[in-house]
Amino acid sequence: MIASQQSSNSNVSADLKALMKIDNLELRARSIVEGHSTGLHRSPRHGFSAEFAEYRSYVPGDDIRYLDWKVLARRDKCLIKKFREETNLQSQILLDLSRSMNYGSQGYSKLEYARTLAATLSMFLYQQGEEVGLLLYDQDPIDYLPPRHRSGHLHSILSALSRPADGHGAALNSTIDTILSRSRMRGLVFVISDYLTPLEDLKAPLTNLAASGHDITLLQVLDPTEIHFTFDESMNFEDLESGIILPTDPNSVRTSYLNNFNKHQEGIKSLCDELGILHHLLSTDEPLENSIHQYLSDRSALGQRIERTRSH
Amino acid sequence: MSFLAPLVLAALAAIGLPILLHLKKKQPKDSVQFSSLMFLEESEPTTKTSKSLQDILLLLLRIFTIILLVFAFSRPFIAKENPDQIKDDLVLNHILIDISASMRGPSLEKAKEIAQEIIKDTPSTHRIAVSTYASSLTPLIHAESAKRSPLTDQKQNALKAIENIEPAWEPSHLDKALLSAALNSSNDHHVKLHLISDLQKSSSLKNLADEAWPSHFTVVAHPVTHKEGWTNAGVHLIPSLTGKPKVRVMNASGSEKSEFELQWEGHDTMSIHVTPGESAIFEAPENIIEQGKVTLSGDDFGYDNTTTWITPKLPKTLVQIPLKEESNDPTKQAYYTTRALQVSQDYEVTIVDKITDESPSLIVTSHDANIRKSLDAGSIVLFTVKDNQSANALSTILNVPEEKIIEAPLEDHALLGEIDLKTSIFETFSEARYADFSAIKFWKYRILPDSWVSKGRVIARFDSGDPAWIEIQIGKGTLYIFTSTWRPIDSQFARSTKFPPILHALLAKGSKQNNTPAFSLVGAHRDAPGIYDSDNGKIAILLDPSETKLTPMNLSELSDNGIPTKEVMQSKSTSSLKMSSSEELEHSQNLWWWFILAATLFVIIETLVAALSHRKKYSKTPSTVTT
Repeated sequence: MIASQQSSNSNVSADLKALMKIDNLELRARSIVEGHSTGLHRSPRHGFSAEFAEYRSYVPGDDIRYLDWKVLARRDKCLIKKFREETNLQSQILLDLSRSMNYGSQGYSKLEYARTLAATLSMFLYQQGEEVGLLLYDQDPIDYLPPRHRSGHLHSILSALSRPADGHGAALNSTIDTILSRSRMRGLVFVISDYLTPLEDLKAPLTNLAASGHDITLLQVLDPTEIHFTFDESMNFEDLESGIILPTDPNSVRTSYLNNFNKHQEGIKSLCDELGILHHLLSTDEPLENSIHQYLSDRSALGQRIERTRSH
Repeated sequence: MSFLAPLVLAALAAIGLPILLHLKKKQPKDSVQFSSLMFLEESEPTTKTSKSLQDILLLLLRIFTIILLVFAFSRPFIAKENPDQIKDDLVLNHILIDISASMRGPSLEKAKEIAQEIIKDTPSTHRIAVSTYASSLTPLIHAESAKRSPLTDQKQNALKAIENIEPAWEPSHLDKALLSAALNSSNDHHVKLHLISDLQKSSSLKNLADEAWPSHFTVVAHPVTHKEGWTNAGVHLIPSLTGKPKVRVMNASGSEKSEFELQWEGHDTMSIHVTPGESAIFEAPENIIEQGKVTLSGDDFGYDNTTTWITPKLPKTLVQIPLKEESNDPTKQAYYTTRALQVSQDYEVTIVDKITDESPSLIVTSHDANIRKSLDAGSIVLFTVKDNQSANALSTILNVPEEKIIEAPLEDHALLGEIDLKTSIFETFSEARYADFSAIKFWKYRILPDSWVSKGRVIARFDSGDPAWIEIQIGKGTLYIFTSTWRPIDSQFARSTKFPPILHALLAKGSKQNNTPAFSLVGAHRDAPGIYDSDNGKIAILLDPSETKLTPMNLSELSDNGIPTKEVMQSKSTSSLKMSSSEELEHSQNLWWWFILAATLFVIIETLVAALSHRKKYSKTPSTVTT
């Protein structure tokens, strides 16, 4: 991955910069999506069924077509009728809005890149007829749009994606709990973050998520300077999240930084391998198309394994 | 390298400032927001620039600039091998104390204290000689004996010598004292003469201007100052052989008071007023006694407040004029001589025609050969050359072979041409208005053989160039040869106004040699003022009036008169002399100027290097954008 990043040519980088300058997230996502015809996955559609399964409480965003009006009239309760064969493969995109995502050395931040990525994915999935949900989180879930597939939902997602990142850290625990409590269906879960948190904090939530049978993809968005630590001059390094200032001579700490970083990456990788999670590192200087393409090839390689995990 | 202001070197501590600033720069002033510090380890934040050669160059440039500036302000100079600088044990401190009358009383005590301090401050390796002076130098510890005695005894001997110093009554002749001190100093020692004196303005310095001083001889003046608001007036008798005694009361310039009281012995005190810097003459009251004291009071110094007067007797003079019987013949010389010498205020004149036991003051002759004895005894002889008989007598007196003298061939008359007006007998006419001898015509004169003339000095010549008056020292006396006579047949000399003064000048000269004067200044006959007995009665010894003038001289007068004082010192510090020479050296070398120039150059280079480094630094910095 590092090698591919280093080989990224300046033209691509210039295109990416131009893309990032487009204010409209939808336009940005569309320009990427239209370059790809390959689907993300096999069609998740299984058709509708009329067999009633159960009631559940209404949550904002539920399609009111499935509201049981009679119950509402009788008991003054909003209940949604659920049908057994109704659910498709649901896709949920989790986006880290911690402040560390505001970092960027390419003229745009990691968040901008991640946001575009999330928008692109949403559009992809939506265009495939998937139900797409979005969960924005930092230390706690900020905003949750349950997976839906209907007109306007994509727009809601794109609007929600434009939230600023001002969280003091990213904690997956409560976020994963939210996902688990809200969706009983197995589905695709994309977690977009820089994962610059201790491995221990990742392990428990990811294990929980993986155990629920979701098809999980960790999309790790990192700036090239974070990967290669290309600083030269002594400077005060200020932690974006904690505000701690550390005067540092990059030349003397580069080796140890890279060691620590690589160790962390390997930790994530081994954790993902262990849990059957797809991990994909995206460098912000890498064109999004390439990243997505790379992701798709990774995914097809792992297809068998995911299937096996699901069958358990 | 030496420094005139070494204390300024303390400012070198300022070097710490750029070093501190350079060290401080290690704290990076740029800061960058970074996503997470979780992979960063704390490290010594050394910047690349602080390590860079350019930064070290800048630091060095700044340090050198400060060093150069500090050096410049320390007034550096390169101490040259001073040829005057002799090893310590070859330095002779010659302490010269003024003991003239004006130093009597507290001034001398103060002088002694100064001398003691100088001795205490003298390094133990130096030698110390001590002398006093008034009208002349009196060595107490001679330079030679100081050199011989061991170094350990130097101070003790000097202090002992100083304790016993007594004041004198003589006036101060600083020039004589300094010259003697310089002459007595040996060449193998560097002589530092410590002159301790009240340095009166009247101290004689006139003989020093043209003196060449030895290179190893320097004078350090230690003036003895009087207390603020001093007044000194002095009373001095005006010596006079006739009339009532008179005194001159002098008030030194710089005195505070001008009111005094004057008392003649046996008479009441009278108040007098004398303005500072002026003098006034007061005549004795009527019915004064024959001799006594005049006392002045009302000033701060007593040494010159008393003078004495006597009623002098006229000195007796004996004039021998052979062939006295001719004194009634107007064609002869004696006729005019006896008449010209008749009356005098200054002495009683007795004219004899034969030599008595007493040697006469003046002998006027033209043929007497037996005057050699009188000349040896101190008589003044005026020998007029009349004829060959005179020539014979003269050859006997001069002890030369007999020779014929020649009558000068004159067409009409001769006049006196060259006259040496500085000679005592012509001194009276030294003023231009009296110096006209052209009215005296000489009808005849004689030419003496050159061998005779060469025995003495020609003090007047005729207009033809032939000698007219010849002065020859014989024994204690003086022989004046006049190559003509004042007989009317020879010249008009006797009828001129010049004739009596010349004869009296001769008589006065003879009288002085034979008589003790009635008045004299301290030093010539006695060492203290007062009235003493003498051969012909009494003699009043008087204080030199110049001693009353206590006004201190401007210290630069010493160097103006050529005395080798580089700096006249007000204080007792002995290092000041060295200091002054250092200042001169520093002034002449002007090294500070070069240091300033170098510092300016360094500042310019520093600016250029800093600008260069700044440009490089900012062109190198990667564009890190935080959004």
